[in-house]
Amino acid sequence: MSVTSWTARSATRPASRALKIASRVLEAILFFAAVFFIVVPLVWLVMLAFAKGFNFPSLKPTSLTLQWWHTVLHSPGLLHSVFLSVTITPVVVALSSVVCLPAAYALGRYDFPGKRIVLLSIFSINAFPRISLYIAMIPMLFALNLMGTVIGVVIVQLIGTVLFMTWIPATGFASVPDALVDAARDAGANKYQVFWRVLLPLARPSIAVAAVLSFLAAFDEAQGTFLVGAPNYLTMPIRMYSLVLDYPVQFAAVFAVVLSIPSVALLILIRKHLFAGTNAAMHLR
Amino acid sequence: MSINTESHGSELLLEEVTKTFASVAAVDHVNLRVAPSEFVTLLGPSGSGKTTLLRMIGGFLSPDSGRILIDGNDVVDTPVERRPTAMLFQQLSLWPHLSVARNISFGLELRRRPKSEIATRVAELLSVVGLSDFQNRLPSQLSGGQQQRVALARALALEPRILLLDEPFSALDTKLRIELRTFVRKLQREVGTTTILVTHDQEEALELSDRIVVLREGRVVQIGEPTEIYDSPRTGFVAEFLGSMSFFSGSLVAGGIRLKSGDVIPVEQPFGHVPGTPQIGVRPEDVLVAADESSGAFVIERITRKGYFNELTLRCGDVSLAAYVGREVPGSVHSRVDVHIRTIHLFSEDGGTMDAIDGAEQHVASGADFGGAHATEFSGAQETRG
Repeated sequence: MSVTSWTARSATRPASRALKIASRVLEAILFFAAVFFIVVPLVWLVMLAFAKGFNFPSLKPTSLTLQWWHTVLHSPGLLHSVFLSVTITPVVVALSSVVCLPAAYALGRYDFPGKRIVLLSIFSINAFPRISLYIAMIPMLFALNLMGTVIGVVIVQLIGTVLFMTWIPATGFASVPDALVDAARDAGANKYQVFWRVLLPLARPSIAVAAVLSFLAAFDEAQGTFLVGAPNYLTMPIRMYSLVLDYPVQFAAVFAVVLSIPSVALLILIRKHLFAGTNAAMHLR
Repeated sequence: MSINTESHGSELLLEEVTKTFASVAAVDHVNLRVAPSEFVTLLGPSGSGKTTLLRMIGGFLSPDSGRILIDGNDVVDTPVERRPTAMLFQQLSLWPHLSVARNISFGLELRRRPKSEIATRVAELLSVVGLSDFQNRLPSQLSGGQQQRVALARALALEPRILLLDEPFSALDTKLRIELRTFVRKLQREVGTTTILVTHDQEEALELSDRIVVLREGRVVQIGEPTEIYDSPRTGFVAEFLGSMSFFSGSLVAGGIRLKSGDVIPVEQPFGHVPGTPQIGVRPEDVLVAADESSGAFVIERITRKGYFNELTLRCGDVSLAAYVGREVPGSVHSRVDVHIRTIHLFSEDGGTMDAIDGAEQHVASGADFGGAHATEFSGAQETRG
């Protein structure tokens, strides 16, 4: 090795070491921030659910109890609420993908007149307070005899998923390079085969993200569901709202823990798709 | 290693193919016949219509008018997926969610070939492109050159009758580019698939092609074998695109060229007499330079090192002349030198088209100021050149 290249290399060494240390420090800070802002509140919530008493300055409950769990699990109508939530939400997500994914495909892959208006109007659903939208919808639902029905509840929850289910997969479809589609057609794939074998698999991570967000949006939806579904269809979040008002805070904590079980379960179930897909998507360009 | 050679190349015929984008003719009445198993390069700068033409052959675009015939069948109305063509794209275009093997077998699966046949074929093709150990890798785990080799295997898997190469080497670095194009040429000779290459790289065109089609603004400027086009460019545009050429004006006198300054540069190859002051083109390798401090007509203006040779920029009045010399430069910047020219190319005076009048057997394109008689008269200068 020549002298010049050796000196050049040794000169860069301390700089890269400093950089490495800096990135380690940053990593540690981010890690602790994540723990503080995400994990600590969750731990506190879980502790609260088992606490007999919990006075603020103290970092741990005065004593533990299963009393709240007992009350919640035996409260009348709870099972019905759980049943409603875990059946209605998947139906909403499934319907939403049937309605929105073809639109997402069109928005992502084609240019057509009025495309911007379609995108903007979808966005506007989330741009205004949702409650005004629901109030505007109620006369229509009355006219169609859908007030107080499951179909009415499904429609109201569907609205909150539309933005996720169109915008996110649309960018997923749009980010597939044209050359990949051309290559598939060149290899003999017709339009349907191109869709099923190339576009859909490559847009899958974005669809998975959209499905998770839609699920959470529908699952947590309380305002519209209450307006349309009460008193027959009280889903879990609605029941939680009334409990928060009527019972001690521990009661709500128990409910919050119960309410997060389906979302966590969903995330665990779908994580393979999320990450496998993300890897492929990241290597696209 | 043998690959399936059942699919010999097809004949491709383009008749008056025209395509217009936003009222600009991207491809303007192109006629071309490509013989079975021939390797033809469409060469031109960006905007010359070469890629548009290739995409029309592949079926990704349809011509506004004209016919595209493969083995005598008009394929203009045949969609991409049913054309007997396969394309190798400029961008890396492997499907990132499929393994190398699945990328190659994609088209065969669509054709519902038996599994065992697909497996054999994939193994065969992987070994042809030298990537047998990579069949289970994802494209993202391969280098650019490897990816393009897989893409080549994928294109060949379909046993295309015409292989279309859309600047497939341009995304690779120089060494890989040369390696892959040599490989492609060798493979094409073995398999005999009719091949159309699109490129703006003159070196690539000269090295690979049986024939080159030079395109400019959607029109064919010249068609011919690489050496033929290099030695007898029909226009100044062709001359500058393939190799380089210095242009200047001057009058032709016995044994040389009289410049405006009055200096006469000797020309070795005989040429006829043309009245007036035609555009004269000289290739740098045809300029012989000798040091002559006392009476040299030219001055060395710049010396550019090119590795194993040097490029000199010589000046005499308003005439600038490029010359290639070996490592030994006859003088230094500002030195006076004497210049001999081995052979010259003559073009019409009007700088717009600069149609050649010296093309040997080619007829003079319309718009030339000089008649065909002159053209034949000057052909001698080209034919005797080594």
